[in-house]
Amino acid sequence: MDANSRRLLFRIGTVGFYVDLGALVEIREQVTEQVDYGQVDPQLSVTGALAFRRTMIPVIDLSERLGLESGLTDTALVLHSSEGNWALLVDRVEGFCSVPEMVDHPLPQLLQAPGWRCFHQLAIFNGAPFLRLELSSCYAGGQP
Amino acid sequence: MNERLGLFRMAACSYAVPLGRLLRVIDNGRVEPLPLTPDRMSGMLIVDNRVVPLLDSAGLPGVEAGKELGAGFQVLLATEYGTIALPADTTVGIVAETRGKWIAGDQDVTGFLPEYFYYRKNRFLVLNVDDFIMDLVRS
Repeated sequence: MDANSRRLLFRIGTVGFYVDLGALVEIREQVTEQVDYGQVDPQLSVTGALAFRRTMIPVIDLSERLGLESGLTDTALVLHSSEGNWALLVDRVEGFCSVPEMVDHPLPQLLQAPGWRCFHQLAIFNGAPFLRLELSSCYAGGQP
Repeated sequence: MNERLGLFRMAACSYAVPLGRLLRVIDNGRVEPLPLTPDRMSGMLIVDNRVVPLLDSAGLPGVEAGKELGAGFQVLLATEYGTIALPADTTVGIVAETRGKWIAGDQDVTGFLPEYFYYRKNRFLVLNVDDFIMDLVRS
């Protein structure tokens, strides 16, 4: 099955998100002790750097920018984009599902605030909403 | 006007909506949080695999912010921007407007009719759905 026909479901705080499985490189657990918190750029939501396959990759924590209360985040999704690999801190990985198992919706206009956002659509899986995380809006290789 | 009204209360304030716009009342629906919501919205409900925006209680005149999370009901209304949910802590019922009387209001409230609906010693503020939604969208 094509990786892009499956999705990875996870939560930041209590809010559900998903990404296409094709963007996922690896799920790294117990990352707290592996992150170098000396390399921080709050403007880009970069909270540190993680050693990954002989390179250091940026670690992105979106919870503050999204106004979410995050728990003891200890899991990172290593994701691939045109800028290379980067890691996204998440609170919990919910699992995988296939595209036909979800019902896709645009975000209703009444729920769209002006300004930056990293999601414009969502999908419903088993009665629960998951926002489609737009990776290019989360990390763009140094562009805020 | 000659129609029926759906009546509900939220935090000791009383409201009415035209029955033609009232789709459904949900008992204790699960409010799903959404990051970066506009000021007057609180989150969303998932109803029949559809997304329904939930108004923050502060969007109802006379009610403080944040009360919607403790509200036991959500009143679903049909609007030209899709379905929207209003929080309610009490549902009063459906009544023909001939059972009450209309009285002139003492102030203009955006999104509501200038007259109150007076029924059983209660004064209900009557939602003008189109104006209310237009004001929400503009804000």
